[in-house]
Amino acid sequence: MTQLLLAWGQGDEAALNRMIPLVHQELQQIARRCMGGERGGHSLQPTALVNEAYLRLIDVQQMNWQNRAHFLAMAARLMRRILVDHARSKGYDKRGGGAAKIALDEELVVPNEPGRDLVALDDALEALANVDERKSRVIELRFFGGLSMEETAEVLHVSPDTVKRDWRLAKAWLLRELRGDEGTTQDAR
Amino acid sequence: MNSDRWRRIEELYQAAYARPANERSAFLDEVCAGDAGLRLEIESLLKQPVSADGFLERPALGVAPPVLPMPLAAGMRIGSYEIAGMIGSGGMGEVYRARDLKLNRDVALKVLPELFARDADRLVRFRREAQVLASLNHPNIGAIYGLEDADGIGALVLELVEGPTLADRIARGPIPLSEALPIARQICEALEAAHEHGIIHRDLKPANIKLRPDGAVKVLDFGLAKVFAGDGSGLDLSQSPTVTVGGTREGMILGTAAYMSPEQARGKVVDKRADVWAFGCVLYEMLTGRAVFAGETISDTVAAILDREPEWGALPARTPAGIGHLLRRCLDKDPKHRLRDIGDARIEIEEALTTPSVDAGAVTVPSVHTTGWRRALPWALAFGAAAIAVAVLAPRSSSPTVLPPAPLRLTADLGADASLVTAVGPNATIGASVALSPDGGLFAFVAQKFSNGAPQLYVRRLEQLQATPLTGTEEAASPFFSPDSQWIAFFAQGKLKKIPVTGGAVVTLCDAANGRGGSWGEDGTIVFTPSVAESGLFLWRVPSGGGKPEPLPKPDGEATQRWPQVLPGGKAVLYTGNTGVGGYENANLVVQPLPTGARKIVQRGGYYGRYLPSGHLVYMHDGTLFVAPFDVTRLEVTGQPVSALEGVASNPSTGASQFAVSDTGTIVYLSGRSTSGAVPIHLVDREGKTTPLRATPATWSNPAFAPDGRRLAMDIREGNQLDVWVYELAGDTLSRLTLDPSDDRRPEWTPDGRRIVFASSRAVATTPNLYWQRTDGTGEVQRLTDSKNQQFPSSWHPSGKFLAFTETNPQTGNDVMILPMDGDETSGWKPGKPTVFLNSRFIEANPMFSPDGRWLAYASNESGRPEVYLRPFPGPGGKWQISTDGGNQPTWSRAQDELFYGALNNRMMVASYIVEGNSFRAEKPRLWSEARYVPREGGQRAFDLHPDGERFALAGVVETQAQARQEKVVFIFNFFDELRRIAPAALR
Repeated sequence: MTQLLLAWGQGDEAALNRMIPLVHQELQQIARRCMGGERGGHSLQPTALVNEAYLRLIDVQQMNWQNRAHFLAMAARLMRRILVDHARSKGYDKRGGGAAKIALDEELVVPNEPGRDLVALDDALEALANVDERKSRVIELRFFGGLSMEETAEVLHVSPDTVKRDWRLAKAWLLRELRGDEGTTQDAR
Repeated sequence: MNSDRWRRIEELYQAAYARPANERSAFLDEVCAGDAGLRLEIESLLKQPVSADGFLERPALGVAPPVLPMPLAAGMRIGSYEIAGMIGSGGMGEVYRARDLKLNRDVALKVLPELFARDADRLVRFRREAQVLASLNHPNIGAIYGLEDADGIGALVLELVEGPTLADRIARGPIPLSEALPIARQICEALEAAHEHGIIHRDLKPANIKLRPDGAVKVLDFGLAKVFAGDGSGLDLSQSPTVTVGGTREGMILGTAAYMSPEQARGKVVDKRADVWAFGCVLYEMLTGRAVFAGETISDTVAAILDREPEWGALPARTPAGIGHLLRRCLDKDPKHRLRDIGDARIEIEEALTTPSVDAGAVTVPSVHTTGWRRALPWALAFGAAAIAVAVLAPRSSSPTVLPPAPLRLTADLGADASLVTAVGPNATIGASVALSPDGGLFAFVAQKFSNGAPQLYVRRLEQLQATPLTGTEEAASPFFSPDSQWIAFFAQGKLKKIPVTGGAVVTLCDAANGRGGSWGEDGTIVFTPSVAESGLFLWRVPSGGGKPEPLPKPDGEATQRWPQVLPGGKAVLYTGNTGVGGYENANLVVQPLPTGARKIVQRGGYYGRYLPSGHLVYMHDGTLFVAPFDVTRLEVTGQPVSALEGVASNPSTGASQFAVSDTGTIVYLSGRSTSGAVPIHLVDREGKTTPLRATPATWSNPAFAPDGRRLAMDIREGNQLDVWVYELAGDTLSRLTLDPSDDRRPEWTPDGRRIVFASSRAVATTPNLYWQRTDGTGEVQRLTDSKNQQFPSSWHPSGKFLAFTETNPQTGNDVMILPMDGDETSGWKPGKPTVFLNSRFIEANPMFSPDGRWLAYASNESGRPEVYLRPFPGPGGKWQISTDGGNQPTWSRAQDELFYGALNNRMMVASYIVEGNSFRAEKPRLWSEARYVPREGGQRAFDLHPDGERFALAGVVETQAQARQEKVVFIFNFFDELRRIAPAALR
């Protein structure tokens, strides 16, 4: 695994392909363990997710920060896929297909049908990526990958302040998208 | 959107956000400078509560639903299994120790990942293959008991094997020959048995070989590698089903890779020789204490497998020559040169074991092939890694799997210019309209000609295309064959009859007013359920050559017994027993020993059970035919019921289903849904005009118009709840009158419309007595009678001082009783002591007071079939027969001198009458309307006449139903093979 990551870092895409199933598996196990614990989520530290996978799979000694950033980015993407694919497989419609849109922020405090939110969020993230790729990735790394502001900044090669600003605007954009507010969404596209 | 504009939006948003909220508007006014769209865009973003309520603040995992299968906690139930604890977790799901509460044994449950379980195609494939694997029955193979699919969790039910794995044992060091060879021999035997069934293990390794404390060896997870991987050829390393405790992912893969044959590593199609290879690896490892092809990495391991010769020198010096030779033949990299048959390995080991010189045998010195492996290593490395990648990522090509012959299914025309009689339509029937002769050669069915609706019996030889109608079988229902396939018995016109399969004279055997199935035993006794009326609800028997019918032992706690089948040998009868009326999803399949004996419930939660000579019990539940292995001598189900056929026409309101099975393994059935019997209510007039009264279908019965004609009371079954409801015609509102959880049914309005009397079993579950309550919702429910017999109200005397009701008397059957009511509305009512009005040994039902109160019309089966009669009230006096061709459920007009009833073909008949003095003179009844009604469950009242005398409330047979043709049935041949596969007999 360590070798694969190093190889990937040197541009070997085949190495990535070989890593993905292993990382995917590891993440699923981590995810499952997290779910199995307290639902409240307080026990879950934001940095615990993909970092844990990293520590379990990779010999940290041999790595530099760039390898690590690569890994964390990939893992966050995989975690997004795991969670969203599962929510989709549960039959949550794209955007609810005419169903009332959900106030996502409230839903997250008291989850009702969060699976629908995940699918909607995934779709909105795609849309956001078309407008501003980096902001979409900030959300992916932080929300799905559980990375801190600093780690996110490291992965994206920007300053933590930029991440903070991106984070804020991305959230506003997504909230507007998900709540279906009237406004200039049409113009903005 | 143009990226410049987005950058501008971003810049202004961040700038505005940095300002205090009350300054933002002014700021935007300034910077947007008239660009209204830009301003709107930024405002719409600014107003989002990005810092409120933690939107996206907690990582997805913390807030997502339990999207991945959660470990199951001890005490949880999956179907009939109770989780005791986790044993381990592997590539494809966790394994738990669980208790099988039905069979009272401990099992291992391998829970399928949820994503997997939700892939319908994959699950179907999985189920099919699991069924094949479950057919493996060998003392050295960990058994697969079945597949449990409950509460959205799929799990393989496996034999729980105690003891360490061979891997645990090897971890302690090499195993001495004298101990290793018996283990190896048992592994061979397991593989040999599986290979004989065409099943390849594909993932044999020390970690899935268990050593039981008693010395027995059990090989686990046979064939699961393939089952989990789907239709794969190679071994998918990431999905090795083998459980590993505490192993890392990579460790697991390494562990699996070490036993992979070269052809598996190359991603090629594998056959049983892959198992031979793995066996060689395992034997080598037992003897040496180390894996034959161990590498630091997967690539190293694969390289070794592909090209490195085993280190033969590591074998103990005293290894017999035969064993050394065997190992070399097992570990030949070319499958063509490898040992072909694991049975040969067993023979070799047995010889070594019986040779006294096991410990003194010649030292094996295999030739060591060093030829060129070092040279080839770089290539092998690359190739090995590629092979792994292929195995993990690429879709796999199909591989041959040996499956028993598939059952032959075909849809067939009836072979008659007629439509099968089903649970809907003008001649709606209750029982099965199809029957197969035990020898499988004849197909009998009840159908109605398209031109003329009278149903009759048809017989078709399966080798012929056309069916022959049997004359004299009009109105036949629920046919069944004699054991010698020479006769067909059936119900018709209130009788149980029989006719030779070749046609000819119909022989009437006995009365059976409204049969609910029969079965012809080998000893010539027919067991049948004669009627739905109270005394005939249970099983009777009659000699097939004619004679006096007699009841089987009295039921205890059952409300009905129906759809009997005499079991082979005639020593017991299987039937559907229900403790309520209707709601057969919760009925029981019961066995009653003959002639007497203790009754035994063999399966709960189903109906229409049939024992099949394949050693199975099949029955209906939820529109699906279920099958379970059944021990006919012990009279018990010996394994898990599994779904065998979906979409078999069935009716959970009557417990009937449209299928029949021959002793030769052919099943015929009408495909369809589970029909609940829910129907709308229509109003039908004299011209036959049918208009919906309440369009929403419901399982209602016993409609009763209020005296004002504006409300209609009825009972409605919803699931297991049966209650009295009142429907307001004008407002289309339905409100529940009775709130008790027990069954409440058969409402009747008092003449003043203030109260409704009904039967309720709130005091004793299976014994309804009479209660009444006010319809305006005030006052308490008052109990009117207290009897150990079942009672149902029927009609109020116009004075309101007498209630005619029926009572089930153990000696005299269904009787007509009168409940006197003392008092009045102001001083209060007090029920008096009920008196007998009619208690013949026949069934009397539905007593109805005439509008003037001088007559009581009722139905009786004293002639052998239900007819409507009339007697003066309070009597004494003679009786008049009103109906001439069978009739039931008399109903008086309150507007004219007319008496109505339902004919046996579910049409309304009417007889005008004149009363002169003490004489009642009725005209010959005539058809009131062409319209037909759908009968209600259990023969409950199906209609009521509006007080205007012009309209009936009933479930009309609508045009589309009347014209719906059922001309096709489905045949499956070799059905028993399929049943044996999916529900193998329990291993004991």
